[in-house]
Amino acid sequence: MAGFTVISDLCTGCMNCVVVCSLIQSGNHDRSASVIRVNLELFSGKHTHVFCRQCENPECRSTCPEGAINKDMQSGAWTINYDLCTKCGICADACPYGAMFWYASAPLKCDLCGGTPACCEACCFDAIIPAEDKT
Amino acid sequence: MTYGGYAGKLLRVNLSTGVIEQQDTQDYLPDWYGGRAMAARIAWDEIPPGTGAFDPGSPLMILTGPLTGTAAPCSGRTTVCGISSAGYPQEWYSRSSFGGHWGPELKHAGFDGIVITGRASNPVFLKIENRSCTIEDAGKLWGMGIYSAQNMIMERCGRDWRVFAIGPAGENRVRIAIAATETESASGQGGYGAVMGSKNLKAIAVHGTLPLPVAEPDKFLEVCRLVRNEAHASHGWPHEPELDSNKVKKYGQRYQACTQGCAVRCYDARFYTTVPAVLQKGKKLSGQVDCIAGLFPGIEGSFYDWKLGFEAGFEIGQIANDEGLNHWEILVGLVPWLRYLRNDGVINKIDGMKIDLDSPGFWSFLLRGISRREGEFRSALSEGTVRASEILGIGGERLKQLFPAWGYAGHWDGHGDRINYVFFPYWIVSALQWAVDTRDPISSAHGYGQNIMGWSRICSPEHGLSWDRIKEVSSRVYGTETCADPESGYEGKAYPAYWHGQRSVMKDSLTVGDQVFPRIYSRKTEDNFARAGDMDGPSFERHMFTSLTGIQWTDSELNHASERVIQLERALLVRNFNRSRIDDEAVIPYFERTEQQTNPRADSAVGMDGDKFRKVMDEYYDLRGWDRKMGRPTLETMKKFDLAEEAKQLGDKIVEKV
Repeated sequence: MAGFTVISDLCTGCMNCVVVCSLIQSGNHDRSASVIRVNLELFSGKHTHVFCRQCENPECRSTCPEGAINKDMQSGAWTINYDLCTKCGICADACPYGAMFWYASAPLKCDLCGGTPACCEACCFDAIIPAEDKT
Repeated sequence: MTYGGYAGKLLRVNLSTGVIEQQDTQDYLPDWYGGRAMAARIAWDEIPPGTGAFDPGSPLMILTGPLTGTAAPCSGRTTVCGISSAGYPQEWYSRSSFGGHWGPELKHAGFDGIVITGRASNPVFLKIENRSCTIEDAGKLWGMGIYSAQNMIMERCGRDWRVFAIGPAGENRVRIAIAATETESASGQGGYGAVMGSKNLKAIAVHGTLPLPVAEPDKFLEVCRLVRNEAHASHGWPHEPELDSNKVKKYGQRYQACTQGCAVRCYDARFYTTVPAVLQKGKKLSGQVDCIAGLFPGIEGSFYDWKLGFEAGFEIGQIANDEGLNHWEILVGLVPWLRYLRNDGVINKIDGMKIDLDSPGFWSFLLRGISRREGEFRSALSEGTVRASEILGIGGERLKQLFPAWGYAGHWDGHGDRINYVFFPYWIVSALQWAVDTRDPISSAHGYGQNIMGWSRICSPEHGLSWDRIKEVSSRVYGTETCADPESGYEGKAYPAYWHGQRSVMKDSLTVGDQVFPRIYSRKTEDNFARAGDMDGPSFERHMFTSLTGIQWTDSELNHASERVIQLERALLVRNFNRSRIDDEAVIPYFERTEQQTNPRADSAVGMDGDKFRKVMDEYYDLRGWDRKMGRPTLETMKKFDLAEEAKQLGDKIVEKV
């Protein structure tokens, strides 16, 4: 299975994944451009995470009226074809994980950085790991 | 020119008038490039002689730096500067800093820092979001602990808001009061919690969604990636410590970043999710334990051998945080001093309660009484241990064993601080750092003593380096192997204090974490000198700074800008407080006592030789361009650092040249 998963118990709340992702997506530190989000619970330590699961049969793809979401065969990520996307927002409403974000008046989702997710490397505590590694 | 990394505005709030203004950060750039550097400039311009910590006009400066909140590793810190209420023998200009996530949030809210003056007529808090700020009523928050105050504001504003707050100690102007965010990120030393309290300012709540620009995004990303991958463990820890499996199982121990951008498994920072309370029966507590807080339970067989145990120690640490008291002062200074007094037969009770350091109830009585100024004895302790000794007229001699200078308990000094292992000659550098500061200098200067001791095979038998390798690596930084040689005595000790002085400014100005930067030693290179890509470890900060901001400084230029801050801070101390070599030498008697640990290559433990140390001070003053007699920047030095105009205000307090 393509993609990554987050082991919440290992997350230290450092936010490196969010910050690095935002830099890649927007060219600056714009957290709203990040396609991985961490809801910090600083008093309980039980942080939660929002990220694309790269579902086998994703709701975002099946609900898209334009067929604009397709699999990139190289990375295995579901990606948005912005030439077809009409920015209707149906995909964002459909995602059960809240991982189809809205940025610069358009949907934005994780494309696995073309195959090597930067968030995985930015995490120094092995909390973000390739999905196939999770046992 | 607009530089990357900065939010672009400084927020200025006058709590007396209610006037809120925004100033362009650019006014101070690039020279006063952030945090402590910017604060020094503002302090010089805006703090006249005679200003006390609690004067309404005394500005409290809470400033981030360009790297704060960016992809730079360990960059979540915020610097606090102003007239310190903890300063002794007088309230004078100093600094502190804290981690957590507050600083990054402030920048996303559009501000690089806040300068607060005045005093509100009633308790207030600041509510800051996306370039706007309002002064809100804090009547219901006043009297609350730091945790409750944060949670109440977050319930009202949103869970993703970050809050920097004071507890009862700050409200009551306790000189060892902290201001803090989350459960363990405190501006701990300096007594700035009391300064906030004196302004009737309970908290500062921030939230933002604004972007922070980057000059060279691809380059900055790559530099940060390389630095993050090189960084490992904290200073002096060649290996990455593991979690305690028993505590993982029993108390939910886990790693938790003590500040945003954390990239290392350090020895200190641990979060606990389920610790049974001892005093608050039936409750399960959660929170962070960093740094010295690990000492609350007591350590059997050590100088700090009280027997609270983990659960009670954890709870007492959390109480101290919530009340808003400085852990370092309590654990390394105040409590050991009380124990001395009890064992010496001077006292056995305080305010009617028997001194029992094994009793959680006693600790709670002690700490809550200090933060609320209850009872004669604890009210005296509210002034800090050093002032308390004077007020109560007891324990003066014992004080001299625990407090090197300026009202602060020992820290990497080889004498009073017995939790950290450092022997002669390495504490000579600490002594010099202590001598020329206005506070415990080590908080942003762990890079020498802690690094050398920790990387040695004495402290790290399995992972440490040979003395020859330590000398070799350190010579790349200090220019000679003598500086880290265990048999070098007083030779080569001025330069490390000088070098780490600049690095301390750099860390507090950019901002980056002191426990990780500057990178010197490494286990990831053949020669053990930290390196990543084509960057040398000590240049990491500069590479991150230039690619982020677009300010194309060389190492030498960043170093010069940082040393300029030291010159201006010293000039401020001369102008406002008449600081001189006489003050600096006040540390000598403390260090003349016999050290606590012995150099294995020496016959016996030693104390400082005052005459030899004075020569090291001479060397240090020469390096700084300060005259040896008074320890002040000369006119020539001020000109060299483009401070000729400022020098005019020093008049005949300074001399023409060395």
